[in-house]
Amino acid sequence: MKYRIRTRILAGFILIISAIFIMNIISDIENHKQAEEAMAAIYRYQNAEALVVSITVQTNEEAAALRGYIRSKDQRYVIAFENNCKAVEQDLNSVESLLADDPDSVEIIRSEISPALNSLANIMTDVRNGQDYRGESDPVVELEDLLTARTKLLEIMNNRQAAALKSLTRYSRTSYQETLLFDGLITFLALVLGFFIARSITTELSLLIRAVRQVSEGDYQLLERLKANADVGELVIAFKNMIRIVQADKQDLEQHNEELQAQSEELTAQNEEILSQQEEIQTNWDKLSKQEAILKRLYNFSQSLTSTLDLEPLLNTVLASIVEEAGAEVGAILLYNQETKTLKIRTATGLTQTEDLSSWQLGEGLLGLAAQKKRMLVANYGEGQLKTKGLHGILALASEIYLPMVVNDNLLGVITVGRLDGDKFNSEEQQFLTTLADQAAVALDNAITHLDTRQTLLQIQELDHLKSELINTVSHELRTPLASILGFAELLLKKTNSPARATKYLETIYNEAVRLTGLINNFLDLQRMEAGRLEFTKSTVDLGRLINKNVELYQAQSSQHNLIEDIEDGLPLVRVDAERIDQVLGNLLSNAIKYSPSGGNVVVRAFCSSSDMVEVEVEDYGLGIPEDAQDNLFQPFFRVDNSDRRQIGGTGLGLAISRKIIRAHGGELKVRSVHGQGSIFTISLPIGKASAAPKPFRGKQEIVVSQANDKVLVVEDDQAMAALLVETLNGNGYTTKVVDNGAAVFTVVREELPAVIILDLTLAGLLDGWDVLRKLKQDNATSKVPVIISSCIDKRNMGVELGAADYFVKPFPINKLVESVHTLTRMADGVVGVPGPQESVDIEKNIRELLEFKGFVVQGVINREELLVITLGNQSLAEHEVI
Amino acid sequence: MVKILIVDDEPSIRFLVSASLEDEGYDITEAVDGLQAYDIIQKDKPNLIILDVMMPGLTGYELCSRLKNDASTRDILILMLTAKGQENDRLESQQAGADFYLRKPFSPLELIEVVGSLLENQVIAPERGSVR
Repeated sequence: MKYRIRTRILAGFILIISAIFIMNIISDIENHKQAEEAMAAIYRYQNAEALVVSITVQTNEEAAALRGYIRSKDQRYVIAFENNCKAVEQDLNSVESLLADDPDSVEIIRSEISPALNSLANIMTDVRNGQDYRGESDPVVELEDLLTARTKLLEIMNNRQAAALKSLTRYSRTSYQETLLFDGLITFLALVLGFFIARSITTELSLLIRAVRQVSEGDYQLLERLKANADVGELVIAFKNMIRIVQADKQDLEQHNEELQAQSEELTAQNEEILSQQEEIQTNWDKLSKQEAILKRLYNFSQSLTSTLDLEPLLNTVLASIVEEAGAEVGAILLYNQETKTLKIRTATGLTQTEDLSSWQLGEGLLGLAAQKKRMLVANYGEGQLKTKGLHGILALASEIYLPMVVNDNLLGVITVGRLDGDKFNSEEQQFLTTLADQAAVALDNAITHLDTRQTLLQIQELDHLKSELINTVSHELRTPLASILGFAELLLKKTNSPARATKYLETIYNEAVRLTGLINNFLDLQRMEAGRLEFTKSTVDLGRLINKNVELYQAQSSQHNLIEDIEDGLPLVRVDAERIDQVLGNLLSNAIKYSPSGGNVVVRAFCSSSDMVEVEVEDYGLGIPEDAQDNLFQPFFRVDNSDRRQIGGTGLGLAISRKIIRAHGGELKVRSVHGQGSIFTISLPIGKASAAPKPFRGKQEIVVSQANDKVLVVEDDQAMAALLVETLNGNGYTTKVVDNGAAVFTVVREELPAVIILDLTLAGLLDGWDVLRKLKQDNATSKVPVIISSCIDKRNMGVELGAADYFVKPFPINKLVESVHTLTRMADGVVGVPGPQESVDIEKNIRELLEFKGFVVQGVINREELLVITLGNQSLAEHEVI
Repeated sequence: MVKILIVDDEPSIRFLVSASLEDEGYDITEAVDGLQAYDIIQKDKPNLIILDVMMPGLTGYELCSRLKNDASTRDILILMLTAKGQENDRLESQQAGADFYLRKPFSPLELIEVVGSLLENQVIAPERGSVR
């Protein structure tokens, strides 16, 4: 099946036609041959017949020649004879060869013709040999046999010819029949062949069709088994290819399909999930719908709570709402006081005898129990089970519920409601009411927090406002003295002024500079106090004396005012920082004068308010302070009624600083005031330890300066300051020496042994003031020389620790320093006398201060007539009672 | 004689202003607050007022604006002395109708010059602080 159908069909038909052709040729050749053979036989037999006829003629002549010889003995006969004999013999041989395969004829020739001829030849021979012819008189007779034989032979010949002719005809007929048969055979074969070819083709095709059919049914086995050859083969190949493509496509499709399938499955799964979620949502929705109603009520409840942040309205709203929501008839809210650990009724409804039940202890009754446990409690009296005392016990209640309000585990109070009818509080109601109570608790907490926050916020806002007010004030307060200082300085520098005028200008400059310094000090003090860095140097102080000093000072400043002192006799001494208390007194007095602009009395009282407290009152009859401003009066930067009072100078710091100072002493500064009528500021100070009740000395005396040693060493590298000190001290009768560096101090001290050293801390050279002070105090030869520190560095305590006798922070009033020098020079000899009653109170004060500075405790001067003797430099005398 | 009224609650500033103008040949009067100044103006109208802002009773701005809104006193030159913050004093002086303003601390020599110029021209160049 290797060839194409066309080839095969062609080949088949060529084969069939060739076969028919060859068969015909073979058949024709065969028939022709047989016909020729038959014809040849006919010819041969015709030739043989002719030869037999000729032989017969010649034999007759032979016989005629013999007869003539016998009769005549003529030799010529003999020759004729012999010639005939020879011809007969020759013909006979020819006939014999012609008829060689016909034994009948040969037999006739050999047995009949040849002997007849031989007998004629023998007769001749005999006759010739002289013998008389003995037989029939004529030899021709002898030929009788011969003629018979000849006839016989001829008859055979004829027969033979007829047979040959007959077979020729037969062959011819046979040939036709054969041809017919053959053609039929060939046609049959062709048909068979065609059938097989057709069958082979149709088989493959039908196989292919089957294969295709199976493929269409998804079975590839048959197709795979099909051999790919010939025409159908190509079809198969093409089909296979097509199938392969289709299969590839199909695989793609299948793959795609699988993907789609997978996606579809996924989607299905998701869908199922969504469906289940939907169901869940639906379930939840149902639940939510149920809860919505509750929430709506809750919302309404909480909405009602947001309407106010004020406590009382809030509580009333809460109670009304809860009673309504609970379907109750009575209810109450009790708030918890953490300090007293009690619950008190704040609002109630439906209750008549709340007074009796207004206060509850923790754990007392059901209400107290609910509060203590911070848990809801329900009492269903209908069942007659609970007999514990309830808030509503006085009523014939069916049931009551106690709802503690708790925020962050802090008990705020309890809400309780009760029903008069038979309905109990079921669990749903209990839960709902608990939720309401929780919300109420939050609202309550918010309200409380809001109150606090609002207050704090107001305070902060106020403080902020005050601070910006301060900036304006400070700006004004600082600019005013600065304007004077700069203005007069400019006038002095740029204009020609008379000496009197110049002095006036300078005085103004000086005063304004002092004022500026005061302002700056105030700011600094406040700042230090705010930072907690203000140092107090306490000493035992006679308040009466301080008051006296201040009254005199301020009286001098205002002729409009009349300053009156009212100091209790035997006012105890107090242990305070004299300078600071002085500052406070000064502040209160200046305020009293400032805020009573139309003048009038200012009364200063000092008295013992109790066994351990001294009070000082400063009363004026001026503007007074509005009640609402009194709380803030001591706040830093606060000033009353800014528009009306700004004229009155000040920084708004004085009272703040004053109160801080007094409080730092363990005391208090308070105000009582009626707006428009005046104010009373009260300082109360603790008396402190071991303060005998002395009779404080008051009076005005001259300072008596002892001139035992008048040498003062000024250690100062600022020439202007040094010059000022020198001039002032010289003016007070002292001799001075100035050095500007630490190293020079020791030479001067050894050589001249000054009574006092005034030491600046910042010095040129290697040694600073601290080094100088240390070295002086370490050397026994110089340690007794008192050292006054004059510096802009405010480290008073350090100075005292290192052994400084006094400490001045620049800028300071120069006369204060001179006072200190006075005191120290008089004590430098080791003996200080306190003279009689005519002596200066300042001396007493100075001694006291000095002693205290040195660490002594001066309890008071009982008898001024007594002589006070103190040995200085005795370090072991750490604390000594001096009378 | 040119009459100048100095209005300031601070004695040192009044003194400074009067001392500055002392030798210039003006007739100088002083007032310690706005109300007193108003009384003086009603009695004896000055040519120029040197007016402090921060004063008790009637502030400088209030007095200024009152004078500038009154036809009888509108022509009085007003020089404000301010000690407040930076920008709003200029604006407030302007709004009150002041002719000029000086910030504390001020230069007495400049004050002398400003007063002289104001009286002479009644107009001052803006860069020198005019509020007009």
